[in-house]
Amino acid sequence: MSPGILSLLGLARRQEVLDAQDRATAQKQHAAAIEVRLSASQLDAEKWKWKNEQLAAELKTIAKERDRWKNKAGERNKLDAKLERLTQAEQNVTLARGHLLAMETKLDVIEGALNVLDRRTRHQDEEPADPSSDRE
Amino acid sequence: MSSPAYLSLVLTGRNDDYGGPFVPRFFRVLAFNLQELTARQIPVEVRLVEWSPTPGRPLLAERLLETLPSRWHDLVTTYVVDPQYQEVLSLNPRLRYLEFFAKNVGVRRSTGRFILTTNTDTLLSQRLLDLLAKDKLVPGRVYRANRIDLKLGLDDSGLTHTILDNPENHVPRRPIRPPLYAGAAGDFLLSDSDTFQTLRGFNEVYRLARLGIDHNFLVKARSSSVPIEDIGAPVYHISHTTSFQVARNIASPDEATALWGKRDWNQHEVIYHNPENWGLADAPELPLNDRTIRLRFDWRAVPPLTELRRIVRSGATTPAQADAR
Repeated sequence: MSPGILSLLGLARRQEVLDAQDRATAQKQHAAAIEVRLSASQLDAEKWKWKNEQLAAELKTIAKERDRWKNKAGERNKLDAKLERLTQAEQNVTLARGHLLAMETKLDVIEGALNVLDRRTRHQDEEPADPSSDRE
Repeated sequence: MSSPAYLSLVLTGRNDDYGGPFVPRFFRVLAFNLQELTARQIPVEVRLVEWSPTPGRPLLAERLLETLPSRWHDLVTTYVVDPQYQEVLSLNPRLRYLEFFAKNVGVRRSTGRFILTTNTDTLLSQRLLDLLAKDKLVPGRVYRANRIDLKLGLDDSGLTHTILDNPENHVPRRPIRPPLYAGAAGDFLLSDSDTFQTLRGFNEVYRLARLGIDHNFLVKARSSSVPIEDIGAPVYHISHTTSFQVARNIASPDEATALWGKRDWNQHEVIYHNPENWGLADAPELPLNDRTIRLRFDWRAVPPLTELRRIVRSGATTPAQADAR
């Protein structure tokens, strides 16, 4: 029987029915595969969501830590500045001490010179007067 | 010796029984050092400065020429310095001997490439002599040497290297250490002539002390960026009753002042800038004989009693630098 007559009677050839059945089975399998992939994607999505939340939490902690270090850096800068001032002060003290010691040494020399001059003056006074100077 | 001197030995002394029998001890030490130096063919000259000779006694220069073997006469020149210099220069009338002023007189008149300022009781060790013979000294440095004190009372009439090197004859002493390698520096300060000229010798401004002037020279060298080094071999020192190590414990305050002058001065921190005519450069010279020259007194050779700008902090080498800082 020709396919046209079968079609008119609402019937199909056996082969066509079998083909249709195969296609339906393939579509079913495809749908099932898509369903599996969908579930996997949903799982992934869940996982990423969870990871995102975790990272957000970590980010928050890091931001907190960063703020803490920022504060510490500020304190460190203050300490550095203090240290610099201290070093400068120390240098000034050393310099002042050097000047003081030089001054002390100069005073030693002045004292020595005064003693020498004093001694010479006394010796001059103690020496008998030069008779030749009397004549003048 | 006809060749120009490689090494000038600068010594000072006078015929005054300093530390007991000074003259024989000095002659023995000088003869020992000259014998050892000439045996190694090191061209050497000696500049002996007889500072402010003792009145009524023969000159050390005369006694030296009588005693020293004639083969060494040409090596030694003695400068006899008029006593009036001691009189007018001293800022401490109780201090009897301006030792380092005297040494400056010798340094200023040395012709050797290298100059060693040392003392009349200091013997050069075998290792040191061998080192000098190698001609390896570098200009622009100050060399120091460890001093080994020989036991007080050791017979110094027949000294040999065997006796000197024997540890049983030594008195323990702290070794010299960087940066200054200080400690008995007066016994061994060696540098080239140019460096001594640049540093202008020992302190002539602070004329109140004898002790510490040698140390002060090292501070001055360091402040002037002149490296200081241990030469790596020792000298030996004949101990006597006026050696500082011995006498500091027994001298009365008056004796101590006469020997060493002011002791607690700022030798570590304050330095000096001597005038251009340091070392009595302008003192008129009168030859007494071939080997002896008298430095006659002349006020032109005498620096002012005080010149305060010449006293500077260490680290600042000239008055101008001191003012700038």
